[in-house]
Amino acid sequence: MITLTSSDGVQFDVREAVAKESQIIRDMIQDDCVITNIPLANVNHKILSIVLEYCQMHVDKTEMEVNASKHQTTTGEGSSSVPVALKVSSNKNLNDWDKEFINVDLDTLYDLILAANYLNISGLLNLTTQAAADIIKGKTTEEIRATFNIKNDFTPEEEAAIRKENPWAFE
Amino acid sequence: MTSRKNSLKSTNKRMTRPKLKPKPKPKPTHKPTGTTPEEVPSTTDRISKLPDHILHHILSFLPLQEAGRTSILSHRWIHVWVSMQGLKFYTDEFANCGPDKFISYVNAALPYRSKQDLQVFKTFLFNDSPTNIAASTRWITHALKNDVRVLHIIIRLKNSGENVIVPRPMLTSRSLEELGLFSFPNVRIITPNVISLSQLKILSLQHMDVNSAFMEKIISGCPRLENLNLHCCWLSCLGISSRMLRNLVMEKCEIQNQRENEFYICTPNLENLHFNQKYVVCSPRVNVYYWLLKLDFRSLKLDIPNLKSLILGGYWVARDPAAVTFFLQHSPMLEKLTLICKEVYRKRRDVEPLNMSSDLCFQCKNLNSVDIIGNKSDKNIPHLTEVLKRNGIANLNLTLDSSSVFGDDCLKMLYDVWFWINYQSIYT
Repeated sequence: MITLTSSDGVQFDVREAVAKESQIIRDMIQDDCVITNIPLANVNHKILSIVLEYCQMHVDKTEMEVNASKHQTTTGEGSSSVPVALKVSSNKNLNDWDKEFINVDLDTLYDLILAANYLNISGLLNLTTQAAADIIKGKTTEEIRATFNIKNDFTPEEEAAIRKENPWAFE
Repeated sequence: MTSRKNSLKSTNKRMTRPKLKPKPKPKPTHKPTGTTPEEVPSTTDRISKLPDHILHHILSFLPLQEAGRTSILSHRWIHVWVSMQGLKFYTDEFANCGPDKFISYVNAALPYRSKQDLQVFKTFLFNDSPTNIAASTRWITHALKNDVRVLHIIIRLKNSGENVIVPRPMLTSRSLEELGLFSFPNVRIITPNVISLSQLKILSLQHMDVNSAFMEKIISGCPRLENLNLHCCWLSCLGISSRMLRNLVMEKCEIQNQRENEFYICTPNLENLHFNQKYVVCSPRVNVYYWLLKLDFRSLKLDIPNLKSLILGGYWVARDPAAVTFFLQHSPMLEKLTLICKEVYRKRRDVEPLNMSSDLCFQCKNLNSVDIIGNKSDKNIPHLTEVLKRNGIANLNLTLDSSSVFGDDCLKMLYDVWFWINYQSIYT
């Protein structure tokens, strides 16, 4: 068990495997194998609990798969009968779960991106940045500005000049 | 450990509540030092405040045209776009446009990149008309002049079997760390007399004719080469010999040289080998099958004493367990073995009672993980598992189904590229 402490002082007890989904925690544990309490200065408890939910789910799924395949081998001792793996398409289930998981408001999404970046959880970083890209995709410039509250700080002349220089992007 | 505790900004605010396992309830009186989502009104522009590399990551998921269009959002975004380090010019948006439009896209987008910003460049090399050759060559030269580190080139031909002259700077670059050349069947690369890629670590070739001279130039001209990926290549060289090589992929390669079936893999420091030989039905060269059908693995000369991970594939893996043990006999340090027998050998020979000859014995005392991925209708697999078990392999993972699954980063990349190469519509 490892205790993770959020920036606002809330402690979370998690299994080592779950904490190790994060590259920086993995490195810390490797450097100092007796470490049991890790303070995380950049993640508050609300976001940390969501991040840990993600890690927990991904660890559980992987372990389930390993156990299932081990079970298969042991039951199929008699070599004449070939065991048929019951490896259900768990990847597909996990993708569905991810899709549901990432259905959050924009502010939470930013926080998750920053947390995934800080903790170095590549799966979560890809998932969250892909989600942000999906929001941008298919929108006009005006729609993107409205969605993300991006203020247009170009003068009309500057904007026209950029459009003219990059005709391939705006046709 | 104590120092880490002290580095925590809010150590003094640590709550004394009992340790929580499920989601904790926020303490209402607590005022955290950092920003929390609740404090930020949703009307602020937080996306523009994300660090550059995260915004680049987000843009990399967008089609190039849409990513380029974000440059008009604000000053912040034009900076993000211009500093984007990887440019991939072979995405789906170009599949529906002809070479002319593609070339005008790249011509317009490329000059924007400054030196340190162009690290990854992936593009087509057109080989159909002098103008297109000139245009493609210009981009590649431009990228190389800017010290590009990763270069992937998809060679587009009008007819298969053409010769391709690669721009000379491509094979004499001092900055390239990764080079990928992907093409159609039977392309012969007309190489410059010299290959000198002093920093190259990863080389991927697909559908290339690799003769002895070319192979020798690669090995001697790339002193740091660690990863060599050969995919669907036609190998007329006698073998691969390198002291530096750590990872070697030979996927669906066709080997035929003057010495009939002989082929050496002489790589004393190799750690990972992926060797997957199977039928290649698309090849017009009928005599290819000779080697594949007969696959006399004993004529392979293997020097792979430090191999740690081995992936073997092809119908013959299940058909002849001696082929597997032949590899294992040559790699005593092996830790991980993966056997892929997805191709069912239809004319299965009758399963004879197992006779443990010396052919079938091996000693790999570190081998603790064996995965067999196979087709459930393949009746030869029990035979194979029995051989492994008799050699003391207890930890066997069997995955049998009727689909084909593959999870290898390198191959994923190659298949990705393969998909686009097959996307013929660019020539409509």
